[in-house]
Amino acid sequence: MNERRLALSDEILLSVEKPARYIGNETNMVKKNPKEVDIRFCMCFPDVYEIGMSHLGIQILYDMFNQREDTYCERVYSPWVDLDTIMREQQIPLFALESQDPIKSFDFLGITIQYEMCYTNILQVLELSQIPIHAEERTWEHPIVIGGGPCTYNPEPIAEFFDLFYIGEGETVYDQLLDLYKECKHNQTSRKEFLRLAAGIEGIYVPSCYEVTYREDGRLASMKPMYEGVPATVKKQVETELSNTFYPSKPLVPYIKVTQDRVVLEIQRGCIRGCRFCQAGMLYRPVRERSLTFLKEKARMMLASTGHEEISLSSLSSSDYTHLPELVYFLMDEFREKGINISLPSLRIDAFALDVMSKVQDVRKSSLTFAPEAGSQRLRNVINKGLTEEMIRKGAMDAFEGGWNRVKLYFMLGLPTEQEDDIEQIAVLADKIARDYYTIPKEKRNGKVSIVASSSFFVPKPFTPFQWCAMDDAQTFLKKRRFLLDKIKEQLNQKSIRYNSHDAELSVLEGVLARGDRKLSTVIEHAYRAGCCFDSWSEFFKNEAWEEAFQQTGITKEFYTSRKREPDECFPWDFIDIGVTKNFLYREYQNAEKEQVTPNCKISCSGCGAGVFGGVLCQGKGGQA
Amino acid sequence: MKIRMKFVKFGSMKFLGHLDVMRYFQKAFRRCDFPVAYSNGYSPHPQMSFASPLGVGLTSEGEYLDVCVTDDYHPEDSQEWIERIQNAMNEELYVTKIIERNEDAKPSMALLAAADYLIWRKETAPKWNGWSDEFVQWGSQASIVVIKKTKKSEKEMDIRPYIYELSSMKDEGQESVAVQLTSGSVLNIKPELLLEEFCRITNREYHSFDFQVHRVDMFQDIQAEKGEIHSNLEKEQRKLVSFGETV
Repeated sequence: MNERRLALSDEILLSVEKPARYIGNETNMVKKNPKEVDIRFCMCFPDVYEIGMSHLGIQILYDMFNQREDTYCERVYSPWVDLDTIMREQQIPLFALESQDPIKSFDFLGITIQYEMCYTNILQVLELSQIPIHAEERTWEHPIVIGGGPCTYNPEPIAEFFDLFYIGEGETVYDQLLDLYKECKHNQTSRKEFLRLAAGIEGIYVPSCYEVTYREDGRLASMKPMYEGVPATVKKQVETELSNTFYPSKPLVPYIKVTQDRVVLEIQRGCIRGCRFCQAGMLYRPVRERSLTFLKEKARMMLASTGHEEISLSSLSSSDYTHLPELVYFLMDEFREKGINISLPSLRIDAFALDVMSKVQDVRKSSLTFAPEAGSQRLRNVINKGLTEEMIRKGAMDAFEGGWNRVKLYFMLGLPTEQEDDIEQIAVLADKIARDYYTIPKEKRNGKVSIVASSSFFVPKPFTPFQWCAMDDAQTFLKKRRFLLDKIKEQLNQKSIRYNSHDAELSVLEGVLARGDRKLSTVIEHAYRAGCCFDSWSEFFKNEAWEEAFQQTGITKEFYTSRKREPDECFPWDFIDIGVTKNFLYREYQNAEKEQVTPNCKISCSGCGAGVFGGVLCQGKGGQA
Repeated sequence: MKIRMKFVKFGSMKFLGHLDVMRYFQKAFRRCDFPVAYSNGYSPHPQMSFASPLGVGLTSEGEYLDVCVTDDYHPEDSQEWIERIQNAMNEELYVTKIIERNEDAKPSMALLAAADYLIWRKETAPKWNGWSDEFVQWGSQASIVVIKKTKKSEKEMDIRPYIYELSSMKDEGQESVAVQLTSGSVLNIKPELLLEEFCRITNREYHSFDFQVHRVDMFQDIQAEKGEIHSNLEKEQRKLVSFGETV
């Protein structure tokens, strides 16, 4: 019996929650001899295993890196709080799941940064790995720490902790970067020189190669490259051939139940809708679809290699995928017999959706989801959410007639130009849907209607038309929440309407970090030193510790959140070129203020600028905004 | 059709709980198209159940899983199926044998009567010279009264009648104890209960993770018609047959 060596002792593994988080060896794990590769790359999702293992991006990159014979890509996630304590007490270095070797001896540590509230977990991973948390203190003895993912579209608050950032989709220039690394290691080039050369690769941002200056009032004055060959703007990477690129055929299958315990089929990237609050909708332009042939083949292979019982389609707006009915009916015909579930999130409720849903779900158990985001039509026009009251009520009514009786509604509080009436309309809309339900004859109804309205607090994000906007403070949020709750209680069907809401303090902090600059790294470090970690887990979020961190560093949150920016303000993220232009975003901001709707990409081109990447819908429209 | 699968679980796989092992089997069966029968209903689930869930941290070379299979399964292909299932599994948790069962066979869980264990001190644990002989000596007394905790209460109980076999071994300085204990749904004596009591009586500090408990096999009692438990004193009334044998 040849047993795998584990980094943690039995004593430790048997005393922590879910030891299977730390043992690796999952089905489809890649096994290589670390001694036979040139590059050891550790991919990290800085949150607990069950969250990190549910992330498609890592699965794609894991497969891509491991196709290189000279590279062994392994994985690591944030040790849960129980193991975190033990590792600190016993000075155990954080290790990769595959080889169980310490990460500090790797060539690269790649961290995917999916949400702002994981920033303290990045420091946890670095510190537990015994890697200096500040990039400037690292030498060739340490891995190159590289960040990627949506939050790197404003990497400045965490710039000090990273050697490099990869801006955009991972499929394009990683090969170049790894080749350069190998060459530099071989030629005994200095680490600094390697970083400078890397900055010359399109899409690679090296924070230490830029000089940042501020005005007296704290606003950014300038951001300039310090060396020749380092570009002033970093260009977002886009994979244009989505049907001829990396996509795993054998995804990892965890032993323990994770959040996304199914095959994930990414059908397209980008979104035609142009909702003005939505960062992903702007960042991932232009829309690119994967071909049916590609998706059918991948679905077959992934289901066969994983043994999963469910397949889920993934995209920002599945209903906009051209071949959706064909794909869904294929999946149903091919796999329903074998007991495979088909899950279709982000589907607009229409006749097709109801037909599919009635076939793949238990109508009595499932609920319908609508995301009107705002209560009034006026405010929905402001945010360019192309969903009308009529569409929602028609969709709900059709569903009620089909036997559904549960509806989930998602809203945001604190959207730009919001008035009390807009908030009240949330309660009114929920009530109208309930009233509609009771117009169905009693014998045809499926019991009582249940409506769950959820609200999050609006957080302005970089690269959206609302990047100039002020954000509400926590008090205002709480006041609005109370107002909404009171209004819901005034409704006829108030007993059928449940309401829940996000944490206000957490949202404000997210707002600070989202549009922050380099000065914030010291706040993040202070908060981390004060014990902040797993901030996205409400039971671990320590708002007081964060407040204290702001006080100690003399940085005010309001500077980042409550300030309406001037049209020409220089933003910390302006050095990134996402294709979509600042002009377009500002034009959209003005359209929002005029309550004017902008048509989606399929109806007409609005000249956002993303056409430079040559999307299908952008043919011949690559002009400047 | 009903079959029983024998499987091993060791190395890093000892950290998987039994629900995760169940998921692992389900997914492995799907990967190799093993024809498990599914229950009826809106969300059908594969019909399979463990003879006795193995605690986290324990290893085993004698675990059993009852599986209902469809008509697509032919007993003459069992060897081929074992290989196919092994290919869909890892090197630390895999199927070693398939045992055919009668249509009216009771679930293994209900038949379980005894289990063999092998216990040794891990390399990382402080060395206790001669502990295995002492353990056998202690375990061979006329009676061993322990406090057995149940969900509802704690009660005193003499476990000695339920220790069926006990011996010690030495192999290149590595001491180990082999023990056969009453097991099953009516009365289940865990090896940890003995270890804890032994340490208490002999003034040794008990750390569960210092011992490796390894299940060797599980047995049914073909004499016991209604699943009654026979104490050690009624040895002649017992006829233990391994779950790995066709009865």
